[in-house]
Amino acid sequence: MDETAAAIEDLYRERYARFRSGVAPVAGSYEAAHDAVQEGFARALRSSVQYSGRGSLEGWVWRIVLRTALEQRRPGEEASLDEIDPAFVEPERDFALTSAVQTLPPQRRLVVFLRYFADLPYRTIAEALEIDEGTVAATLAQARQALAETLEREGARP
Amino acid sequence: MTETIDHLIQARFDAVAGLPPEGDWADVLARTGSAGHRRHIPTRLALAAAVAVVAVTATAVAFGLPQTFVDFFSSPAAPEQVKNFFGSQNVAAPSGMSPDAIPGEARKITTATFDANHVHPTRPTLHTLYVAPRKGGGFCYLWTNYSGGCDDASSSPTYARTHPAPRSLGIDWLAMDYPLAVSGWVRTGAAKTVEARFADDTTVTIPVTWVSQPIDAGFFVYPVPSAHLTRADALASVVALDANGHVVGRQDFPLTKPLDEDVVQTLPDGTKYSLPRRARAAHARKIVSFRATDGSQVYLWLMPRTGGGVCYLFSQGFGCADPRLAADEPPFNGGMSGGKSRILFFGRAKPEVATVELRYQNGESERLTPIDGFLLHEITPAHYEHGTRLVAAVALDQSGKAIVTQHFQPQESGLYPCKKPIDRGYGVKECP
Repeated sequence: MDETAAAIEDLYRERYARFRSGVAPVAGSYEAAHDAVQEGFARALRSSVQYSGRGSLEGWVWRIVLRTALEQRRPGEEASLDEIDPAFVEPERDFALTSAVQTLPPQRRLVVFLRYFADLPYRTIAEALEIDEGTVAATLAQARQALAETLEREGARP
Repeated sequence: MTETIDHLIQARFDAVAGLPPEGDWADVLARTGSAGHRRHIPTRLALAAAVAVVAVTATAVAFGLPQTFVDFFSSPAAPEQVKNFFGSQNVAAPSGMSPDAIPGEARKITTATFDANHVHPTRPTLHTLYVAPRKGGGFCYLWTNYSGGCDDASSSPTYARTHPAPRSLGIDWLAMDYPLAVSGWVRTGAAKTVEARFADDTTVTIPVTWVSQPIDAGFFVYPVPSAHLTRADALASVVALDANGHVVGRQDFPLTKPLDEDVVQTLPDGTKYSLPRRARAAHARKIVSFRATDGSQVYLWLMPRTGGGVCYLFSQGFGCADPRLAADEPPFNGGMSGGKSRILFFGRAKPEVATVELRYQNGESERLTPIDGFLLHEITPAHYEHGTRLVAAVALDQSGKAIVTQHFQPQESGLYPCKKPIDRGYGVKECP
């Protein structure tokens, strides 16, 4: 077994739960997220020789898994991470939080989901979405402020 | 400040996330179309797996039934996150109610592939059964991403007094107009098989995974077949049978009353909540609304209950009062709801209660007047510290005579907010 494949397996065993949680808002359900993670990791294994070593392996796998989730949601369409429109899978569990997140633009929403559901560091979010790390930091700062304000307004302080 | 907000937002996200799920690496490998990435399995584990397979095959043939037998002590240890789950159930339980599971002894028993979302079926996913023994006997179990619980055997003298004979069968079920799925356990002993009985008089033997001592129980999960997802052919009961076919444990399933189903409803102010259909949220009226000392909004809505009575929804809870049960209820019944940064006192009072006096350890008191039979009041931070906490709520009639006194334990931990929570282990932090 080559080193990259072994690292992918380690990543899966260590972070499966985070992958599923982070992908669920894109996939639409936890079941669909599980399927996207399974298929995404299988694709990563099949194409492990294509991993260049530039950027983290985790960021590379995240890109594959997110694209897989998008493809499964829109079969037959070209998957572009720019078109992601993520949403809470179970909005009824916290309507105030759902409403607050829903006021954010889709890309910013995804950054928030990856940060708080997948517990990803800024650098990995940047690699996964192919954006600058500074953009991630700025986006999270704005999103954080917007969330705090919205939740405060609704009398549901974070 | 940013870190604090970040931490608080993270807590909100954590609260809406479900139990940590489990992956299935074998499935990933299968999807690659190659077994070439499979890692070497340590000999000891491989041998144990081989023995388990042989044992299972032998017993299944011998009994001619869909049953498997697992030796608990030969089963693999549960991963840390599962041990933490069992541990957190112990430390998070109210005083005297800990299930006393032994997290370090939790083991992986079996896996099953089924669709956990029976209401809106999607596709089957892998679920793992973990079981942990309890101190003093018995067990707790967890089907990942599905259900869990503990048996009702307990060494507690109080429990033994009220439950002289522990049940032989424990069932969880999910139902709409009819049961969609059942899961549970059956105690080893007289019970030999578990059977599903349907309204059309057909029966099916439910496969059981029997686990050896110290668990001494069998476990099962049974999604009801689609042919029986009608009221006429619904699952009517699950029974445990002895070797002679006699019923030794039974759970019947009365058809669920649709009025008790939770549905998303909208209050007159546009807020949405998941409430039983019986609660008529569209006709709700807000009788209490104030801002707590932590800045959060506190509210209490009352709404008519179909069939009589009233339902209430407040910042930290929901319930309905059934008029048929009113005669058995005390004139006043109150309780505290803790939170991270506030604590509320909520109570229901019968018409004879004119005021309720809250009495604190330091001799202070407050008099509250019920509104339409309800009370919702903030216990302010001035009463968080030991020595200042609530000790009693006294319901008084119009003449000032005490009708009923309710006592509270000021030493109860985990209720009052604090600045420095104590780490109780397994990821649980609690205020003293």
